[in-house]
Amino acid sequence: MRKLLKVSLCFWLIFLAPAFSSLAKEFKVLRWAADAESNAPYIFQDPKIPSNIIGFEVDIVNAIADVLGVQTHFVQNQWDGLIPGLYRGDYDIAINGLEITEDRKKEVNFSKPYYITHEQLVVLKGVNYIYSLSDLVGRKVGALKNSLAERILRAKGGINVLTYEGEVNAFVDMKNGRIDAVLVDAPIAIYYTAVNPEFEMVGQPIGEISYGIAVRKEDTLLLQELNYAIDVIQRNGKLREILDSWNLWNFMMETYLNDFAPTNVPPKKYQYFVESVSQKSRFTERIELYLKFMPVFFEAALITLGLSFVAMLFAIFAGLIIALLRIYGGKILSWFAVAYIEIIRGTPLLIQLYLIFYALPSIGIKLSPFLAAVLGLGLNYAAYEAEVYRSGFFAIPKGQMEAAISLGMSKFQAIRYVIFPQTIRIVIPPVTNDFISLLKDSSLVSVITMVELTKVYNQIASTYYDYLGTGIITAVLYLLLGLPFIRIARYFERRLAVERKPPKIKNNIYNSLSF
Amino acid sequence: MIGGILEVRNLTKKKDQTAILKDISFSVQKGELVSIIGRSGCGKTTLLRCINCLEVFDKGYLRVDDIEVSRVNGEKPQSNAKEENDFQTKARKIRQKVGMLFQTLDLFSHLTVLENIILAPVVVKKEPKEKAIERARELLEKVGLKGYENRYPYQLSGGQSQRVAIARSLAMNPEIMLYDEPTSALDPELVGEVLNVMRDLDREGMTQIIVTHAMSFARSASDFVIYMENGEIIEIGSPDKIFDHPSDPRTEAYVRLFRE
Repeated sequence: MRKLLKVSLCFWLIFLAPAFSSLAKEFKVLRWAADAESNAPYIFQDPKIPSNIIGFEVDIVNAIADVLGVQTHFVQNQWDGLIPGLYRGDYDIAINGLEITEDRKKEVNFSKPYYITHEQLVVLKGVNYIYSLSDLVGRKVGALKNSLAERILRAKGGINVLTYEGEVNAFVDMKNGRIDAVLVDAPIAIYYTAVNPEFEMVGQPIGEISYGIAVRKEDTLLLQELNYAIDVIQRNGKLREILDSWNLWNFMMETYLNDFAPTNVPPKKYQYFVESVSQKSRFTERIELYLKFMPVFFEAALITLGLSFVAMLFAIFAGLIIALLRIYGGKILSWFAVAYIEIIRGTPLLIQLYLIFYALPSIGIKLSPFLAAVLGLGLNYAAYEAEVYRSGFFAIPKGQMEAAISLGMSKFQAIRYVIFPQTIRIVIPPVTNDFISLLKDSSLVSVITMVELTKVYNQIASTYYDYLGTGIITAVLYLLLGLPFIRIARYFERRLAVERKPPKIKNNIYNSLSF
Repeated sequence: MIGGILEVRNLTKKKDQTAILKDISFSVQKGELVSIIGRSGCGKTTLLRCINCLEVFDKGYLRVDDIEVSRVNGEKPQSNAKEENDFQTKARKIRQKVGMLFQTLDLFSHLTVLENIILAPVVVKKEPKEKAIERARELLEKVGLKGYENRYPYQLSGGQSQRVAIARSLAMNPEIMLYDEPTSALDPELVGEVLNVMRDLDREGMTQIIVTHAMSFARSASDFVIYMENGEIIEIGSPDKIFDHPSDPRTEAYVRLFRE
């Protein structure tokens, strides 16, 4: 997934004119973005109230807003899209475990670090031969893709590095015996091992990571204000209070803030998370928990359904126009129709969504996430629908058109009254099929900040480290969404089978010769 | 042979440099029944389709009633938008005067028998629906299918389908009916019912041109018969002349195939 960041970065570098004026100015609302799928303790759903977003970074944003005397407004965006989204102007800051690196500094400005931490080795409990990087040589070790951990492991040499999209996948692989150790950012290690006692953290801290708040290059004033606010919460103890409550205060922060006083408050928020997530082993407790998710899931399912429905309507009509142009449009128009179909079908939907969402604003077209999602899915499926219609057209015997024409109908009348009604009957099953596949493809729009069913699944699953139960719930919901449409298709298929029973034509036409 | 309701003069059509119709000339008087016979691929179907303007001929002259289309060599209508438009306008006018029946059963499969018949009058001629329905019922009775109004094409036999198709063409009040092997796709026992409808129409004075392999029908019902071979008219004459005393050896060779 992080690879996508690079892809998307390219897009705005190529397509976005650097003409964005600073949106900061006299801001009253601090619009901040993060990916609520990024796990505890960063930003995640409240285990008890899944519609609430919590995390130590949420607390930091709120503290900063308090200092600056502004309101906050949270914008959900895919982690990979956080930086490109800044330049789209939907929000002004991104804060979500963004490590301050030279590469990123080319694209955005970073505030001073609000948290400094390190990489941490995690192994299965009882493994007594891994304590340091050197012990990893010749072994299989997991890390997140494009993370500092990966770079450290590769730099060491001799280690068989396996990279993962999400840390949970790495931990599960370790549990299944595919890898010997996992190297991740310390906060992840602290929280994951706390609720999964079969793992433990081992060895010394490795490397150093500084998290900063990303802002647009041109928003220098905003950057100053952020740095000022971070200064304030560092000096007045607010930052330490937050980190303490999340059990994240460490020796690096001691040095950074020159604050060596011992922690004397219990890590309340850490304990809250551990308690609410870990003790869910009993079956009834699980069910209770899943029931609690339901409203969030249903809401997301409705968004998925609504989005898919509107996109499909769009695709059905746009596809019809494209198909008509392709079949009857003459040389030039049909060439355009073919070009459209081939380009759209031949390029990934994901890239198309990125272009619509991140590149179009540079030519003055800034669509809401919903509209961009509808347009992206709709334009994409229009190409497929056009081809479905075309094959439907050709499935109708040529004689139907000629019979209509020789009755004196114009081509348009023939299409309207003879060809089209028959085509509809033929294409309903494949179009319904496409709708069901669009329903599932709609999960891609989470990359353009839409929170739909799959996104919610990822968020909840990553909060609870539970991919199985929530995965089944999600799958069932998709199935339920698609089911009525499958039945509609069946019905029309059955009707069609009767209507299109072959006419009684003999094989050998010369049987009728007589003299 | 000049005059009449249909006139074809020096009509030529090429496909990929090969002439499929060569210098065809004939005319038909109102009320005549004409059979066109010949081997498969001799161009008779193409000739019929040219008369109906379903195909564009390259050279020659075509007149249906008072509508004339004339073309000089090599001018494809596609080469020029205005000419194409002109051709299509005339083609539609011609098609409204000419009904055509195909070998394949081409009833509109999503419509009932009645809907099949009234569609063109209502859509093309803007006839009021009630009037079109009334006329459709008369026509159904004429082709012997009273009571079949609400059936769907798949519920009809081949012969019934073709008779509905005739009624459907007649609903547009054509001056001429063209039939392209109307009974070739039918079971032998169903052929008669279709031919009988054509005989009835002949008696009522309908002008009809039939491309057919049904030789006994061509012989007994035609006013004159055209024998074609390799895109050319070899011989035109009365049924007796063509079938019993052909003047051309090629005609002789063909009709001999059908003698016992």
